[in-house]
Amino acid sequence: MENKSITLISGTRKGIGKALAQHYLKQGHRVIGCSRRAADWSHPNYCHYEGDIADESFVKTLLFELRKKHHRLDYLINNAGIASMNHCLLTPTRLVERMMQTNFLGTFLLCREAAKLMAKHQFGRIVNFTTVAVPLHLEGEAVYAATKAAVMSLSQVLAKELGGYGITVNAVGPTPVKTDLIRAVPEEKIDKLLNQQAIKRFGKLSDISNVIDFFLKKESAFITGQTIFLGGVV
Amino acid sequence: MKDDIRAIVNTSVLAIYETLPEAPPLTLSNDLELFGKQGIFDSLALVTLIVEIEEKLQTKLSIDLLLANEKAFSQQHSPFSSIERLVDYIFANVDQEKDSGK
Repeated sequence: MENKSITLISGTRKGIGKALAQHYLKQGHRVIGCSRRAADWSHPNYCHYEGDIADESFVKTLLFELRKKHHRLDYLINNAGIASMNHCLLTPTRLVERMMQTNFLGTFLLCREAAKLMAKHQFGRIVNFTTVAVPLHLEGEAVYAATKAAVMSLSQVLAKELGGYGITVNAVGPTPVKTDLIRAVPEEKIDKLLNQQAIKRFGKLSDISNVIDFFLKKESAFITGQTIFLGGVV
Repeated sequence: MKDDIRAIVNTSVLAIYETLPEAPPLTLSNDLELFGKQGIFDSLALVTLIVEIEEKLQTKLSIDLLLANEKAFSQQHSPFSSIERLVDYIFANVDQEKDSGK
């Protein structure tokens, strides 16, 4: 069986997902990534799958292929997500459905199928993505925050359900990071948000990977069901 | 097909049973109670069994099935209560998938 750590990361075409994939490739992991479109980057130890994580058959096929090729999965990082700022009175139903599908359903499906494979080896680390918009109750982010609150809750319950299989489930809640996800958010909104943090600056990719590194560590076997918010948001 | 499914269920039951601490020797029979008052598995082991069977159905018979679906939970008698019920339930699901052209 392969010695390299096997790591599955969603949303690796760009932004935080791509940076995380490259971070773990540098650490010698074999990384499997996915996104709705093809990746414009490559690495000998990276394999990219194109598809929608909210599509059950895509997720099942992805994990089937992964099991066939690598026989196990050590780490799952559920990074893929979509955001949109809208006043609730101006939020189209389709947008609510899309955010719920990608942010929550996609995370759930990947957790479920990954945990089936991890359970066989009595080891696994799952890290989900929530956001500081949850504890800060940010105006204009009702739906986004609700989908990410669902992810937090999911992580806490899965931690209990999967603890017996040696699988930990935790979540990281980043502050705004300069990526496409917040490109359309007005500057004054971002400033207002940063001012609510204990440490008033944008998050860096290394802030996020540092928390994930901690969750993935072998020594973190007793850490599960936890959410770490960055920037001193409580 | 039903014999193949039965073989997978039997192998999986034995494989999961062997992982249980201090489990006495087990004789397989069609009416062996898997889950319930006299069942050999607790809920955690039953989940592991379901996952094991789903994987074997996929790898050995190329059958992609979610065993714990709405139908399973709405049945009066749990399909997971005995080996026979489980085999019948899987066979019926596979048949239905074929009919629906999946």
